[in-house]
Amino acid sequence: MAKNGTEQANTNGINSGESQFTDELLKLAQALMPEPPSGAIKCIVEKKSDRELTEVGWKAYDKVVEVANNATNRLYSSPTFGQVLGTAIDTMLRVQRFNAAVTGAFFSALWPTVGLPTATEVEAMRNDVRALRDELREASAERQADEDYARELHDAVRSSIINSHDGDAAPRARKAGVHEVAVWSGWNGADHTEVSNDVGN
Amino acid sequence: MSAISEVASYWMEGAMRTLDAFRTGFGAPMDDPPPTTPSRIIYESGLVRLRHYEAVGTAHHTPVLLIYSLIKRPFILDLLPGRSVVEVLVKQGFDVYLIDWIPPRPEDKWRGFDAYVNQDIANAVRAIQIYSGVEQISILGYCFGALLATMYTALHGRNVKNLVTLTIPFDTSERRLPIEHLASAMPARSAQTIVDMYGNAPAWMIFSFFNTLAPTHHLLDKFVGAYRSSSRPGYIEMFRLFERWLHSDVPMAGKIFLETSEMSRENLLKKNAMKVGSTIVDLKRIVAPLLNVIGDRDDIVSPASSEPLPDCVSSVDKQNLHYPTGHMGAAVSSDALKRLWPQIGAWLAQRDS
Repeated sequence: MAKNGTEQANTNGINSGESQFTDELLKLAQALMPEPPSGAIKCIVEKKSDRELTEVGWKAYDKVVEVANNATNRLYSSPTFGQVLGTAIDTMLRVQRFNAAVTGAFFSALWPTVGLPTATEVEAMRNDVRALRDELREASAERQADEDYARELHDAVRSSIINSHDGDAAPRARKAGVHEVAVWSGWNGADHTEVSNDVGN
Repeated sequence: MSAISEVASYWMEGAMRTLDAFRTGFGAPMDDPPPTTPSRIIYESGLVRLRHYEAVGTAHHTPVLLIYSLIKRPFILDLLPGRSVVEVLVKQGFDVYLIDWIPPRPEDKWRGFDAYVNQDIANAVRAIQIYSGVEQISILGYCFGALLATMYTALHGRNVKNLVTLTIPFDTSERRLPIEHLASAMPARSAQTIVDMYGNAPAWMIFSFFNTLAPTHHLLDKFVGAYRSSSRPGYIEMFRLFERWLHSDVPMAGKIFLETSEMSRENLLKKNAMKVGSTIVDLKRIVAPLLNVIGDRDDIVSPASSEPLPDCVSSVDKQNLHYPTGHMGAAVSSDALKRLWPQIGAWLAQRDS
């Protein structure tokens, strides 16, 4: 009984302490906010219809997003932040590059012993995949190109570049939609030297 | 479905799309959605695949060549029926040609402005000249494509009848947007380190850079926006296609990445000090009529960066056209397609003969 009484007293003491703390918190909240938020929300709920409530909600959301966007823009516009970020990215890239070099050198001898492919082998496989993708791309482009227009026109462009340099007659061409063979009269375009690297690609 | 679960499902779909893009690579041409407007590939060489879209009805004399940016797939210009720049131009009676850039492979890292402008675009223009039988063509460049179009016009002006530039990042000394501040803060050696490590600037890096610029939008707001507009007819379909385009980044060839970085840092093009191959790009050599379209709400290229272009060329017929739209809104917003593009078409039609 005595024990119970002591416990009761302690509990009261704790409750009393909590109560004081809660009172203080409430006072602080009242000091910071003229009206407690729950009161404001209750007030809105009582007065507004569902539709108006939704509008209020979206307006609040838009405001929050606007504030977040403005904060981000201010941050990104700060020269100090830009410099810090720029330097950090640069350092990161350099560290990554160094790590890649070190890792490559260290593990290049290790992988084959545990039966894993080396970076070169993986790269060779990637190249194969890339070549397959290119083949696929070319095949689908070829399918799209009606008859052999692309090839024919490519040859015409190639001849035109060579002929414009030589001043000879230009190749035959097709007029869109008419599909008639026209005579290319020739005119000046890019200099031969400017385009010659790409002719025949 | 409640709002939260619907937003969550859009978010999850977006997260899966992003993870999938990181896993399989970004803008592979074979992953493009089916084209809206019928086209025919008429020429392919270097990194150019040239598509032709035939005019509807009586065609204007001068064909239009669209040059899109190098860092994303160009299907954004032909997204959906009623949401297609190509469709609008074709219906206005223009024979439209589009350079469908082939993403650079590791062995293409040597490609700089010289290869893109003096070889790829020059060859594409030559192909159009032969195919259509017309000597001069109109060129319309979008964003980075506008830079390429401007350079081509300065270097090969006699082939260009009219030049239209959209949202061109021209004056890079203008630093009003976060992207401009961040780009200018990057040390010059970073670009070199990227090229040394990867050969080309990787697609995932370009994607990450642009997404980091608007984290709230990409992490949350666009999905909430999709939920809020989901009741509008066709919105979700459009949203999914646009998302697909947002994940269609392609690598940037190493040399052009370095050159762009230097050009941007030193504002070389505006200073008439940009060298393409062995030739300085002298903007005063541009005499073709110029229409410079500026998105007033552009958050990728600030209007102040585009505005000075007409002052730097020798064309007599030149103007800035301001339109209240964003960077991509100019290509996909229904308002721009109803009002802006008919204006561009009318401007080209007036200068057709």
